[in-house]
Amino acid sequence: MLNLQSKESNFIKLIDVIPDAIVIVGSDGKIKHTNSKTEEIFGYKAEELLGNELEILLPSRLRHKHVKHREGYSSKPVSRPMGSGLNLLARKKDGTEFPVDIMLSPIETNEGKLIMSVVRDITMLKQREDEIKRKSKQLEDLVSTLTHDLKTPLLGAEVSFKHLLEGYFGKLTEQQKEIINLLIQGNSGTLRLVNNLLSVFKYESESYRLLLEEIDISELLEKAVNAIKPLLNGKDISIKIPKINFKFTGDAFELERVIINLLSNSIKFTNDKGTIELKGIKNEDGNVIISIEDHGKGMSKDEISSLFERFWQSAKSSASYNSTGLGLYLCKQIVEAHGGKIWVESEPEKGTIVSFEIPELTHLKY
Amino acid sequence: MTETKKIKLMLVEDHALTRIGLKVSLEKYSNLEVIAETENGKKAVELANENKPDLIIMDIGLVEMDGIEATKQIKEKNPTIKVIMLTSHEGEREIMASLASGADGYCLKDTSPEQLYKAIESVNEGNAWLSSQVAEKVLRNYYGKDISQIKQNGTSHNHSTPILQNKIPVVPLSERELEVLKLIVDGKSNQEIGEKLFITLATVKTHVRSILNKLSVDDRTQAAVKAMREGIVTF
Repeated sequence: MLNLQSKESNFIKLIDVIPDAIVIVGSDGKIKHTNSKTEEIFGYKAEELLGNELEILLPSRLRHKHVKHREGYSSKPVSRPMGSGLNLLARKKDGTEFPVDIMLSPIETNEGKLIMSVVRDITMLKQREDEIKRKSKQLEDLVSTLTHDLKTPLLGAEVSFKHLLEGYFGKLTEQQKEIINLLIQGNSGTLRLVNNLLSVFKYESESYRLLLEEIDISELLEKAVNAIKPLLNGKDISIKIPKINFKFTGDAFELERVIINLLSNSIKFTNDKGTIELKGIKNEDGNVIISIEDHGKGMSKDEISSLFERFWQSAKSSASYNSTGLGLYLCKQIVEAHGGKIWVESEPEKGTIVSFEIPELTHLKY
Repeated sequence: MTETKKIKLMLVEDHALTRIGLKVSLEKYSNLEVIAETENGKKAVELANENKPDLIIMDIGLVEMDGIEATKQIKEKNPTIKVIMLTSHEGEREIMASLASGADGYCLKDTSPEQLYKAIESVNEGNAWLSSQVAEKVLRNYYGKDISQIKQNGTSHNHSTPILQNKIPVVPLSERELEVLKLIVDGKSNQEIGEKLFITLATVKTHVRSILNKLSVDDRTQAAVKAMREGIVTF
């Protein structure tokens, strides 16, 4: 049992060095003990508080309600944060209000059962949170403007180059055609980079949402394979999908994007001939693992460690691959948005297996 | 094709190169004719009154007046003129906001000329049109889950009180309309949607129209317009 009487009590010494305000009240709601931090934060001397009702530390408009809450708590006290998720406010002696976090605990003492409140001033934290929110909103607005301003001229140019090449504005010489073809290539590379960059911001933005629905695994894998078929032209690469049959919850659009990205990497790093295996399994706990295995160039340990960083490109990935260095980073963002993880196993000259896991999300489905 | 059957188009787009490209792409179709074009939203309202085009292709970001307001004003005075919003903005906010205009169709800029032609023909016949990309944004906006909420799922397994209560979203669409919307997202044509849901083509079209009508007056759409106009997005 805690002894609160003696100034020499270890408990009193202990709470005095704690960097949060500690206010101990009896079942009648009267303040019995405070620590030095309480004096510092609230601006009251200890003797001004002792014997007063706890509500002296609250904005007056909240006092009446608080008495009821306090009585409710006293009848069934357990250690818990107070009003978690709510914006709690406290009041200083000079009337200033400030945001706080409060942890409540019942304590057994020689004076009977008391309630200890640990009060933390979170003014700075709130300010930082607000600042982050404001900045994130600004970034979203900026990205929205950039999306429009960067993409509009690129898309406009794409169409007009095509019309020029088709001879719509007059017949072109071979050299003119060659130049326009180069312009088209450059333009589409830039468009791809812009699209990927904007995706990075999209997934980082607080307001992005996943559309969680029931996905048929074989439909998902087949769709992705169909989408990358043009990349297989002229190559003797086969993509094998072992027969599987299950359903799970995830964002079908985004996961398809991940698989397409991983498959196109595997194709890039497989020489003109080879097999790529695309597998999906569902564990007993409902988690789903999808993996893509190739027998291509593989990677060293060093390369693997930086693989999922922004703008990373393998030394083996030459400019001719038209890589933006963002593909794997985007995959990671999408998988992590699902609460999952992505990893790589690889050996140089033997091949690479990229796998990602999506946790059970059925209860979040719309 | 005789002259009288041509669909008279007006292009409202502030980016000159895009406007030219659009014009060339569309005039390749013998039954389409561009009779007016402008970069200015206010001017678009005047031109619509004077020239009475059959159908207007409208961007959101315009000089002087945005495409959402311009569409509203045009529709008020000339209810028979059809409008397709062709937005270059890809943000959810802008796309959701565009739904408030009460246009007959919604497409994104990366839509192929063939798809846009389909949309023009369909809207000209009096149908509503929603491209799959726009449908996806709508679905995501109404039925999507915040990433922070999903991530929390992984770390809060031991929590005694589930903080993740599956709140039923306030959605203006009926079950059937939702099914139609999902099939549009999947890229299905009205014909295919009808076959899949065992309903007639006419019923599918009614559902699409009803989806657009409901979305145009929904609170969330109106809020998106407000947010968009307050944002730093410059038109």
